[in-house]
Amino acid sequence: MARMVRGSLQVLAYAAFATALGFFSERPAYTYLQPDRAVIKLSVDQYGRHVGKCRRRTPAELAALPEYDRVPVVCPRRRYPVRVALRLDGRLLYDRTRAPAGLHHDGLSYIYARFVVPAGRHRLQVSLWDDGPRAAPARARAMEITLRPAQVFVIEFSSRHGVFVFR
Amino acid sequence: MQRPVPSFAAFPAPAHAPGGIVRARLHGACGSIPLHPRSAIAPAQALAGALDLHHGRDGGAGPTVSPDLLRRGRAVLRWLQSTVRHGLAPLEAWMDAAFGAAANPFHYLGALTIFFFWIVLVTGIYLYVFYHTSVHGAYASVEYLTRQQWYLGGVLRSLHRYAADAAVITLTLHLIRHFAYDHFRGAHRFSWLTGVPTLWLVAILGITGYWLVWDRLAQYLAVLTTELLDRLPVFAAPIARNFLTPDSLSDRFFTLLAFLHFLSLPLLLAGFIWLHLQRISRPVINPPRPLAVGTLLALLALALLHPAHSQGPANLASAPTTLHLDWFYLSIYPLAGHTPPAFVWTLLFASTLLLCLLPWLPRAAHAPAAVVTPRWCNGCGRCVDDCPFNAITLAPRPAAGKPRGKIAVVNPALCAACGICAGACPSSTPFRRVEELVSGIDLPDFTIDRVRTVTGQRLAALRAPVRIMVFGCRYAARVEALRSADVAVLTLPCSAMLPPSFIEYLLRRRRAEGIVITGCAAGECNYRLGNRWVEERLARRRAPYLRPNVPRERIALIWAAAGEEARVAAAVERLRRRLRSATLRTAAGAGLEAAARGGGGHG
Repeated sequence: MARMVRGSLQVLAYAAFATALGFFSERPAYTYLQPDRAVIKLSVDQYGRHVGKCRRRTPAELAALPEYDRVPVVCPRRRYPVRVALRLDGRLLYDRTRAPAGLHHDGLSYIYARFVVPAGRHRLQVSLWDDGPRAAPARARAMEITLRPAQVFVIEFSSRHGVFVFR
Repeated sequence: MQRPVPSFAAFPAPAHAPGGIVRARLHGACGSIPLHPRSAIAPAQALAGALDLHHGRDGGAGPTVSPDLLRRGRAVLRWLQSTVRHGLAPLEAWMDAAFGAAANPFHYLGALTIFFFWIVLVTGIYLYVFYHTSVHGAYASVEYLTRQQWYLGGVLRSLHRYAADAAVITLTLHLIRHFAYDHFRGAHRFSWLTGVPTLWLVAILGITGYWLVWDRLAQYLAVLTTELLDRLPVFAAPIARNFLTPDSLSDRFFTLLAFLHFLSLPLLLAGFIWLHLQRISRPVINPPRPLAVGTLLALLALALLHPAHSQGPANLASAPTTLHLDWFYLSIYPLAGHTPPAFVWTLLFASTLLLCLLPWLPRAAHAPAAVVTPRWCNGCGRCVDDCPFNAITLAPRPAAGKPRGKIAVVNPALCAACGICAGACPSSTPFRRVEELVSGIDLPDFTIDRVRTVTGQRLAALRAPVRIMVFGCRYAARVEALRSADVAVLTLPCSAMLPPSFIEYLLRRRRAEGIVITGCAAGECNYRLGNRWVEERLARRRAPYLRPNVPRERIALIWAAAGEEARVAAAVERLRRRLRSATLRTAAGAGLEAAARGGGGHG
């Protein structure tokens, strides 16, 4: 009798363990994105302009250099940070400035951001500043878009192409 | 109100120190692990008791922390530990009833975790054979296993997932239980610290495992994980940009994932598990067979009844909406989705730091480590074999002593001051005719000589035809209340501190008619191996043996946790009745013999 009780308790314990495992391994369901929402991703990599002016070496300076090192124009390494602003239907969604990568601040400035927005028709405006103090953006693009629910809309700017690409 | 640990308070002070100080130190030492969950004392009382603990010079207060703050901190920690123990107690009691103490899953949480890792490893090898490390092949290969090969690949996939989930449960309980029982400092510190990275490794293994499937859940995890990682000052370019569009992802990503999930992380995990067990003597790495079989069958049944499925192929052009998260591994992600990454990282790093700092939290006191007396240590190595924390090693004996041979050396940092070594030492025999019984290895605050002296004094004070000596354990049922006209009591740091020769000594010298030995509840020995060594010594399976000429029927062995004092009292009562009836029989026998002798004489 005692063995039967113990056996039943064991079965109960195993069943409880398996039930907990089975349940919490996928429930309760989690709603990551409401059905009427879409996602906008912004990705930018761009070099800022050099801080300071580039200078052409004189013939005497070039002659003093080893042959493999005779680069005619030298620029300071440091670059300006890159600023990107994104407006959705006229409302400012994002406005950040990112410093150049690298110990000497001479690398690319990277920007990545993700926004959850209502699906539907929107007007997007994106602007990029890469030359420090100038007020006018170096690159800008505006577009009317229609976002489907759960759609991922990507705004990409790559230093290789030099333009905003909407995908 | 102070928690009752009366045996130490009643213990006479040693000659070398004022009694008050020693009492406080011992008191503090037991106070660091206050109550068993089955004890009826409320947490509030424990808290109040904890507040009273700090009397002695070994308070452990650092020069920069105010004693009051330290005391409050300790009280909070102790209350937390007590609350957790009380919370776990009903579950443990149920498991005791279902599986028996010998196979209670709560006593094999670490071993069960390793068992689940074995299942994960074996099933993972099979899954790897069919897995394609490519953007388009990953999902398709897992689907093939799940759908077309459901009878084997599908079952093994489900088993792989559920065993990994089960490992999280047992691992978490393992951690919680060791925290609740204060097993994270002193001798446990190394195991605790090496256990912390395994938590991270297990979590990363689980997450990369879900990435490999490359379904909607994997897509969600990939985006959120890389966004989280981008907040750390590690990557120059944001790695989340690899998941911008469907064509921004390459097959190399899956090669990297496979390398992480199938090779480097499992090897690291195995390494840390190995390290985790290094400072433990005789670690239990396998659960009892019935428990292993039962658990495997439960997982198999779950895999068959509720097979694991993917959640549709990943598509980076559209975001997943509703997901079925594995909450065992992925519960941090919803938090990451709704809070700034800095908050998530702060939470994770702060939790890890707290776990790492726990072993250094000040405790009430720490009993001094065992000490070796070279003159009486013959280098037999019994203490080395019996030490539950590998705190003792054998080293070549210095030239000044015996010319050859070895000597025990104690590492004070690892010594838990349990006294098991003294119980194993062949020189810890009370039969030795010396004024002061000096053992080869002994506890400075609780010497074998004092055990002999106090036992003798307490038994000598009894005035009854049948005298019973009860040896208690500091962490088990409290035995002081059993003191009576025919019962003497002594609480030891661990019942395995008592050498079997003491039993023989007390019975043969007629100091006592019966002996009761109590200790922690079966499978819950505070010093891991104490119960086992006592049982094996009494059963003559382990040295030092209880000699065969000692009447076993005069000895009662009972494992009872704090709060189970009634069981010990019942055992004492049973032994008392047995001894009384035996005494009566002997007396009657002697009377008959005398009558017979007298009758013969008269006849």
